[in-house]
Amino acid sequence: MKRFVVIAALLLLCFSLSASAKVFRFGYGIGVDGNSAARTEIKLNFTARPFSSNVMNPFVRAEYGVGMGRGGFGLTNLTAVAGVELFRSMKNPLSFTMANKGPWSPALSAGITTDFTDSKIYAELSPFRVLDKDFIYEWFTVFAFFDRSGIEKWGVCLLRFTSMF
Amino acid sequence: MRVKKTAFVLILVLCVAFSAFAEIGIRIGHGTVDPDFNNLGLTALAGVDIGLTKRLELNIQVMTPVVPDPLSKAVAGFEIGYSIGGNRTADNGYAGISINHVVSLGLFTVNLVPTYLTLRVTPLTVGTVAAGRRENFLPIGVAWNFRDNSFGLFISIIEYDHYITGTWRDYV
Repeated sequence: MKRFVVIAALLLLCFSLSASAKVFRFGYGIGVDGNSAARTEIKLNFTARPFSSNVMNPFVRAEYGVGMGRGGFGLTNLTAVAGVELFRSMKNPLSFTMANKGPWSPALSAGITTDFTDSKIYAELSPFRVLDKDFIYEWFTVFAFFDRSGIEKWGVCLLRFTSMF
Repeated sequence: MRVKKTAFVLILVLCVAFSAFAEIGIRIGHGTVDPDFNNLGLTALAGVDIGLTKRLELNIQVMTPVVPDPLSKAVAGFEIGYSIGGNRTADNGYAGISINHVVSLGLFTVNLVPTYLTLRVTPLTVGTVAAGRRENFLPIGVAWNFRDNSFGLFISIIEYDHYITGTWRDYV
């Protein structure tokens, strides 16, 4: 037990020294999406980006919100994903949408989505994703819910805006 | 076919606007006016934002479902917006008020049939023409369907304006 505590403390110390506040960042944001069940959903998200690599940079995100449309008004699924930024390129085709210069950084992520009675696999591709100094903008992210028989539901997130602090 | 006609009219208006007005922007975002859109999944908006005076602007917009039935319906129209927080632009390249609020009156067609008169309030806009961009948060409004004399509420999440002319780029 004592050995475990020492190792854990050393790991924590190493992590704290290597991951400065400039690198390890939390964020929160909002997104609006629609899915094949003819519902529009507005979701809050919390994001953590522990590293800052130009290739395969990892992140985690949790999302929850409200939806409306066919079936009325209600809460959305809770979704938790882990993903990677595939690359960062300053040759940014979406730079015209930005106030500051920032990289184009498509991302791929996967995780679990649940309505607290049933869980499904969730995957998304965010091809039009750009990074500003303190913000992440994602346009037209494509996502799908998978069950045992294949794609159960699909949709598009029109815009997800995340503020990093 | 109606969507193509709407797109043609929009392109025509855009061409005229570029030749006649100093401030032109492209608007994209989440779009709702027609209460039916609430049952059609995600609906997107595209349009142009044209500066008429320091406080008045003209928005020409097309809205259509994106998911799950893309282009299954088209709502198009225009709004005249008034910035109640202050001037949206200023002279000689100086920026206008960057945190503002807009009240708009609009006329919208459904599949090119005039159907809705709208009154809309955008409680928060962040950005200026001079900066080249503006984000319009949570515009909310009421639409009067004068064909069947009914009212509906509508709300969008965000609309993003990207200005092409009238920005700081014109002064460097």
